[in-house]
Amino acid sequence: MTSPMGHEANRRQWFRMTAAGVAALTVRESVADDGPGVASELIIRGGEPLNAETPAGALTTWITPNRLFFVRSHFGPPAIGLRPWKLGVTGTAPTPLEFGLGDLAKLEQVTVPAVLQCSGNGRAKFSPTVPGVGWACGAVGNAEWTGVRLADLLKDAGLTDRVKHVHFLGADGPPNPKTPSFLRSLPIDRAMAPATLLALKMNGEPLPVLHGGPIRLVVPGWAGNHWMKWLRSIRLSSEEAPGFYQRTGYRMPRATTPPDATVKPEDTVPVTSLNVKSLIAGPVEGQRLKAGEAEIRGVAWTGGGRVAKVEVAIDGRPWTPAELHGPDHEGAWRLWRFSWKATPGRHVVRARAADTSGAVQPEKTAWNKSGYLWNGIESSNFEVTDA
Amino acid sequence: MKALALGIAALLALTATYSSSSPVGRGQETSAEEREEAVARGSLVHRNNCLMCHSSELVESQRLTKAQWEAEVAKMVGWGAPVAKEEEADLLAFLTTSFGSDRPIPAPIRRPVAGPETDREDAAVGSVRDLRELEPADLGRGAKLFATHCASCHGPTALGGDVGTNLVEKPILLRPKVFREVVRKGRNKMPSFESVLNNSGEIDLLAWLARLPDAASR
Repeated sequence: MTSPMGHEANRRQWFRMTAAGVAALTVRESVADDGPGVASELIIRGGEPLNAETPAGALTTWITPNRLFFVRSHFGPPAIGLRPWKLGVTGTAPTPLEFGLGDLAKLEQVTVPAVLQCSGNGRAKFSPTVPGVGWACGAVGNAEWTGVRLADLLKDAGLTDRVKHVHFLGADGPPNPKTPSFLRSLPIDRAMAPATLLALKMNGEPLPVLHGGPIRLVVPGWAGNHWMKWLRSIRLSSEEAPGFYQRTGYRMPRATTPPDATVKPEDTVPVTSLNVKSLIAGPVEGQRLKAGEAEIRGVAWTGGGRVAKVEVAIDGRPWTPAELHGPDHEGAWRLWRFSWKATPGRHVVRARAADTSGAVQPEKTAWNKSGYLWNGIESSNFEVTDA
Repeated sequence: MKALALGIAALLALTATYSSSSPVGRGQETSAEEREEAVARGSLVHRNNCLMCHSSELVESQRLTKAQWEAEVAKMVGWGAPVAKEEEADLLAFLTTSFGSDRPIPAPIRRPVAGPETDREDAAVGSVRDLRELEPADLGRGAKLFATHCASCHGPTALGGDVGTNLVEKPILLRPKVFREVVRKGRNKMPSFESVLNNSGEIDLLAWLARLPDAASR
């Protein structure tokens, strides 16, 4: 649960005291924060509403545990439990529908593994800097999502050819009426895709409130701005959802533009599918390890298609294929590893992924003013000490 | 040594003059001291306005140019941040001086967001059960109290107003202890209502707020 607004003063004091202590460190010595049973700290990018990312070193497993999964909030969670949860469906003929949690549980449940990444993950890497939550690389995780196929629900709600978009609204209301609601829509094809779910469970547990519980949308292959949390109402429509968060926000220039250029709205496209990307989970930046047989490891994912390969380059040597291992599901991420003999000294490793559509991670992602979809090649500088 | 110090002081004064914005009514020549005062005032404007809706990390972690900060402030004011026109210059002085593109970013803090530790913290601040235990309440009285004392800031339907935030279906409603503390002591621009509301009034108010349907279902 996020800290309530009323606790904000105390939390802020706590933050300030600890921030002073942490700021005194120049390099954070890598704690073994990967693996089960160790520190489950997230990096706080915003306290209230909570925006917290997973340290790269913790992303070594195919399934990201719920307690380690990154949290993104526009307005923070609503108060859960004041009354039974209801999901309304409107815009259908002849009458609006309403589903309680029990009603949804009675429908066929499916489980889909999928990677969830915030569209702003990596925003901090863009130069010149852009406004927004300054995610590094950890606003991403992979989980098994269980729930009802959205298509099954909509079919029962009476779809017609007129329906082109499906609107979604969550219970996280804006702080005042002038702030736009987080109202968004999916094109009908994506809404009806078999993997698009109304999720009630995350990694086998009831969907935690922090992650959108009791119901959230799961849209495998598409960026997190589509994965509506705390879902309250669905509306079938012939039009895209109105308002800032669908019409203005979450858009990128169609073509690469320099930072000082003005981009006309008609020259923008919405952020939809994720792009191919990888992350080095070990050794992490600044880590120290002992010389000898060692493993470089991480994860890789893409939006459409699958990860085709991951390559690593140590100390400027040519790109060499790493081994992809673990489960292979479209929409979820892949684990990768590379064995090498770690020799004493300072080293740098780079990793780059390619997907089945032929896309490869670039050196730097094209700049866009909102800092979306960074997928530049990552590197990790680390030190190997004598065995 | 003295000449060097004077030289540096002169250079700083010059830099302050040329790098300061020229806000309305402040003239072209802004001394370093005046700029420091504007930054200090701007810090208060930030605390009293911006922190109504989000905590400080969102602002403090940004590194933006003057033009980018101006755009962000304009966006926030459009979205309801109650910054007065005459306060904007000071707010921008604070933001551009403290969080300009050239400033290093301190390491962020780390903490668990879920697990036994946070479960304990959450349990300490309350739940729906705590809310229900305070009742029965007089909802009609709660509605009247809201209209009389709260609506002018929080809006007639509690969805937020000029200086009060949206209260509908917000987690503070599940934290009776915290809710009552805020009502009694006030917070930022919210005054104290200790002398205005008694215990049962607080409960009636909270019970009424907790029963408001959310905007989507109205």
